[in-house]
Amino acid sequence: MAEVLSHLAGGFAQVLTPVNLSVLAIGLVLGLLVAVLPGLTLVMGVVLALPFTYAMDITPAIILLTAMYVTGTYGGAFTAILFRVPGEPIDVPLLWDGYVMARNGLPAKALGWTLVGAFVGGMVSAVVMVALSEPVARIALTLSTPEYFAIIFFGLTSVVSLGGGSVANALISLCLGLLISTVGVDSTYGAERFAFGVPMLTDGIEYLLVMVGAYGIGEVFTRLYHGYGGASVGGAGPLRTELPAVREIRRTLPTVARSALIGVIVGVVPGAGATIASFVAYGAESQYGRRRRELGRGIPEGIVAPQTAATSSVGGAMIPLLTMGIPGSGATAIILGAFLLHGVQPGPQIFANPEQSSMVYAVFASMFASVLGMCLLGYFAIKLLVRVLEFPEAVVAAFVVLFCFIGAFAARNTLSDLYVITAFGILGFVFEQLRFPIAPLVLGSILGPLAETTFMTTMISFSNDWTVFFTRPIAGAIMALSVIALLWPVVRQVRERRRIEAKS
Amino acid sequence: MTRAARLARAAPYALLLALAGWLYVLAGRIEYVGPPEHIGPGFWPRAILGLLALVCAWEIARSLALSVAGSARAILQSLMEAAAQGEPAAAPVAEASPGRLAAGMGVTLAYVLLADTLGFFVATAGFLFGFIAVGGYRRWGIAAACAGAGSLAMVIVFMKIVYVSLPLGTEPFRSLSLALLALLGVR
Repeated sequence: MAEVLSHLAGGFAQVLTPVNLSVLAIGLVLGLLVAVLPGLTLVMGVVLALPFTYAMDITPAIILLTAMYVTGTYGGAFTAILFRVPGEPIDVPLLWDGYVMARNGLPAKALGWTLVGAFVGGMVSAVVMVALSEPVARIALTLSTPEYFAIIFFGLTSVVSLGGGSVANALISLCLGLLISTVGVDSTYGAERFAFGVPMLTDGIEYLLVMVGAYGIGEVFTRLYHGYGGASVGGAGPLRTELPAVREIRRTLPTVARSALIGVIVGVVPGAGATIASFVAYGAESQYGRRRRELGRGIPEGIVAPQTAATSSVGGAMIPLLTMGIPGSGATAIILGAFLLHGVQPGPQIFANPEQSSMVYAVFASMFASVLGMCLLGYFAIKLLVRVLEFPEAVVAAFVVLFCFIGAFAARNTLSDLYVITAFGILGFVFEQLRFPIAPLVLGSILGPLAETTFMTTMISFSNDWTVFFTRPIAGAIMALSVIALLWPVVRQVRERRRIEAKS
Repeated sequence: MTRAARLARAAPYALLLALAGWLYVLAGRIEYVGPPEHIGPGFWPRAILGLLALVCAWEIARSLALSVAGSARAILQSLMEAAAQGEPAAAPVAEASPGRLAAGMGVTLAYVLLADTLGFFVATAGFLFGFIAVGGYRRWGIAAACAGAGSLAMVIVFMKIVYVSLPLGTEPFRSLSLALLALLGVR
């Protein structure tokens, strides 16, 4: 533990250098702005910032993206509570109690509760991340390809089961994502697959293009189709944050602890993320909370639970990324992209390399600094931040598409990538219209190559014996969890249908 | 649910099933060099395509069968799925407009097609103005200023600071791009 603390102190020394501190501050402001603007999600924000990191060293690049990721879970709370416009899907649960509390005449107090939730959630997750990363990396070093495949398989099934909506549509979306990742030359035999002689396809389809297209451009097309909306800052009432008293905070401690735990666990699960953490924490509060019957009437627990879980999911999501190289969410996938662009492969070996280990501890330290900075910015700069809502959405949307294009183009300097992301933008729009979730498509394209490589290596190493995925203890246990994860939404739907049928 | 509605619901799945079938056949014909006892590069995509086809077939059957009785169960199922998708984040303000969407896609495609010919600065300024106009913003002076200043800012940031090599275009736009870069001190 002393060694970890000493490394962390070194990390803080790196973060406090002028360059890294400036980058952190820029990341915090950008993250808050992106989260405040409806239509720009935190994943899109991190995507849009990616091209700016190409010319940076790796440490400031990752600090910038991580700072945006952390603040992205908090900024949308302002618009959700003050204007009933959730800046992010994460903030939807904040409408149920946060907006109601604001409408009851306590908007400053509601903002104070979100600040408490974000601060505690962020700090808890940063501590857990620091404490668990090295031990998890040590365990990961002992794992073989069947276990790796099982972990990836669990991530893929989780995104299907946790996404809500139709399981069939989520499975189809996932299959399409996995299929996209097979286009090009396969890594085991060097054979060309589904390229049809087109050089652009022979190189394969980068997951960044799928992600930027489907999330970024697809979302802009969807909003363009439905018509842009906006919030008037004029009707917001007093724009300030009022912190709750210590005794009030003490009363919400069980909620805070439960939600922080949920956030970290949901964050660790590949495929889940801040939005799911936020909804699950609110759901847990409505089932187990002391004041569960009062939820929805503007009580602090209804604000603290989703906010704490959303912010604490960030540290959780960084653990599999750093220790196993498995990105479990959209934002961590972009951060993985930034690592790879700078020639660093996250994984269990990252702590064995002193230079890379020092960089990772700088990222850890930046998490603590980000949470603190985010809360200070949220407390003091809220009046300025919500002014961003006065920008016409038509102008913002045009720049979002442009940034998506530049990000896609700059990664490989080929104009043909622009065709690819436009195609995925249109696909993202079609998916929205047909109620096919986009997250499994994106995660499939990200984890597909890893899943295939680990599967093929296992098959070759174990003479095509697929039972190894079930007979080895760790792999078997994870595969069993995957099957449960996949069946759970079906069981839940059947039970729900029976309950409704019985009632009627 | 009417017959037309059932067919409309099944249509995307049928299309995907056909696509999966075609790709499955193609995956079986992938040429490679490797030991015969090992599974080949076609195995993984075929496994995915098999699952895709299975799910699509299930959804087609469900679309066609469940609603035969006009059943409450089908309606209940679709309601449950819609509810589980969650409410939209914010209520849309204007009416849905396929025309606006088509125009937006058109401007985007035009940008992609013309960027190499017009060069980054001209194409981007045109795209920004077009997309802002399609989005319904009608203060033309501000839109033009945003487009011009935005495009110039991108050139400065990406070519002078981040060092991304953006397209210069073909003549006469190439000369214009080079003159602009010279003015900005980019070599």
